[in-house]
Amino acid sequence: MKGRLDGKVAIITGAATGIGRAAAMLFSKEGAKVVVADRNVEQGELTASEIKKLGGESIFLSTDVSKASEVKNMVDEAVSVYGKLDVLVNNAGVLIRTSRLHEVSELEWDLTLNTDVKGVFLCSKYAIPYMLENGGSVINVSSTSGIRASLISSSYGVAKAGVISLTLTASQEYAENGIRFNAVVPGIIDTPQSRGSTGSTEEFELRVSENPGGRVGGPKDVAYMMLFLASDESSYVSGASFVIDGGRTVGF
Amino acid sequence: MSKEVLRDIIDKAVADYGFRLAVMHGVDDVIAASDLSDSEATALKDTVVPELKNLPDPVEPADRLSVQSKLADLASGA
Repeated sequence: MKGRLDGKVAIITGAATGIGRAAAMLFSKEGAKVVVADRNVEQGELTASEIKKLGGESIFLSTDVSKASEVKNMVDEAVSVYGKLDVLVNNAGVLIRTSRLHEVSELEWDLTLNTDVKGVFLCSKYAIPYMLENGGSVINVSSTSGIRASLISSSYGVAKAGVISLTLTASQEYAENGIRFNAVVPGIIDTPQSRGSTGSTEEFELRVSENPGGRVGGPKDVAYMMLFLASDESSYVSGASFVIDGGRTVGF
Repeated sequence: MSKEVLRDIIDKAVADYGFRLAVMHGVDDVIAASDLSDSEATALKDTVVPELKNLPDPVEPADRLSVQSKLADLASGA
């Protein structure tokens, strides 16, 4: 059966766990060769290994997206192994809870912005040259914290708003090259990061109960949108942001 | 002063999963940005980080203080 991503090569950052892992598994199931990139070596290797066990093609590359040299190596190695690059999913990110703005430490701020925004910039910077001739799809992961006041982390909100801004600008800069840039904007998704960042199981469940329908989304709910954006089905979609939150944000 | 910095890093890493990930997978960046002595940096890297990997997600508020104190004791060699 023909896959929706047959013949495509995709890099997915932050693919060791959560949404990135779900996207890696789904993209492979739909025929893509998947480069799993993450700082988490143990879990990242597991993701790539599981893809291969299921008959897919995948490699794991240990990568800190905030380091230019590591990002350049990641992209070059991906192209060296698979011959081209069609899709980049900028999923790696970190959510560090912060106090009010005047109490945020420089370390908290830098760790967040370096991964969540600089990482998207660096991965795009080094991936785009391989897409200039034949086009491609870049999918950036933002958050509903980037489109409304972030109640738990000012630095995270700023970072995720920045991701949307970068998506908009890049979509215009590279339209003539056939490179599409879109953002996914998840709300509460049941991932280790999401559970951990709420501080307690009770608080997580309370936040979920406030969702319309009282359910929480899973990583696959975001991965399916990424699949659409990575595929040729979305060839006329660029510069767009897709909120995936079960309707929570519009209810505020 | 830096003892307080190390304790702050430990406390935050226990209480905040995102910060914990940043310490676990980017400890050199955290050390570079913090005012830690060489021995404290070594304790963070060699003693605290391996322990962080075994913590539940999240560390529930009722357990937080005891986990933080245990890690601080380990880091100080107590």
